[in-house]
Amino acid sequence: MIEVTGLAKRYGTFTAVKDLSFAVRPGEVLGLVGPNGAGKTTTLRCLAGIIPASAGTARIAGHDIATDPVAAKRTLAFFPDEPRLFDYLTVRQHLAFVARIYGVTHHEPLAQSLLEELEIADKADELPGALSRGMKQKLAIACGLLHSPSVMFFDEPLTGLDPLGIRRMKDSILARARAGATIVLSSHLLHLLEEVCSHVLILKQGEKIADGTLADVSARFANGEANVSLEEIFIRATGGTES
Amino acid sequence: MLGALLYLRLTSLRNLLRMRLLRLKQPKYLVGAIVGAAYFWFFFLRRAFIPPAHSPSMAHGMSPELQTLPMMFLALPLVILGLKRVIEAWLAPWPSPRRRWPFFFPPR
Repeated sequence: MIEVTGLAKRYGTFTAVKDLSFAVRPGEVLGLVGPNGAGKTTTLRCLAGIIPASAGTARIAGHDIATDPVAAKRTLAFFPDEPRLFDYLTVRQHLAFVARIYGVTHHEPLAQSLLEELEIADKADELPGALSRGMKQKLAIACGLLHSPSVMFFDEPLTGLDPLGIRRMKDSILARARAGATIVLSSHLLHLLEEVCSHVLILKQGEKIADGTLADVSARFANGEANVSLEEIFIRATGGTES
Repeated sequence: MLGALLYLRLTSLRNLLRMRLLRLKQPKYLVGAIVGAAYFWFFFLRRAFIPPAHSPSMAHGMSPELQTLPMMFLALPLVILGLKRVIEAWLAPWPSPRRRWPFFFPPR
């Protein structure tokens, strides 16, 4: 469960996120969409405890990320768009390191199943320098999933993945949501969000324009038309501009 | 947490050394390693392990100037390499990732 109330993030006089409130329940997948610079990544980083919010509260699985960050971070995983890996740890050693950090005992079977699920088991003894961009992304995802988080934040998770990798990632996200995980997903691939997300939140210039189920948001901006795509909804909601 | 950080440091160091050793299969790295090892031996380690009185060159009455000749010969490639790097950085178009020290090489 994610509960966000009055979240704001300011950098000096610039306000990146303004008075943002929403909730995501277990089993739901929330798609965070908005033009470039709308505050999507800033919001995700605040929720994951990477940067402190200027105002408001965010509770992750019942733990306030500001006042009880360790308990909150035990339950969450943040997947950035650019994987950051250690140059001199192999794929398997990355997972062993993450297991030690999160206190995952007997992690080997789980690590092996994750590597097989993400199709990088044959690269288990390679260093990151020998991996492609997509494989590095898969390794970062495997590291994030190792401690079985109940809350997941994906920031453009499909960057660098091939079509088959995208399909598998999509299935993996849906499977984890069905198993009860709470997921927030930021992406510009609107057709993907349409397939994966149960809810959507549209941001523009740091402010919430709309949120709710896909059907609710579609109905609000469809103007009585049937079968309006999320792309069309997005363009109508944001006015087709970044400003 | 300390155990995880130790694991990270020690495993990274082990992999780094392993990579460096495997690289010695390539002749250019092997030659570099031999030159480097010889440099350290003549400049630093030899004095620590062999007292001057027992040094073979001193025993034959070789002057200190002559003794530095092999050292200079070994150091010459390093000096040339260093100068080459500086000249390359100076000639590289701006901005360039080869320019590691923009403070010393302001845009022209």
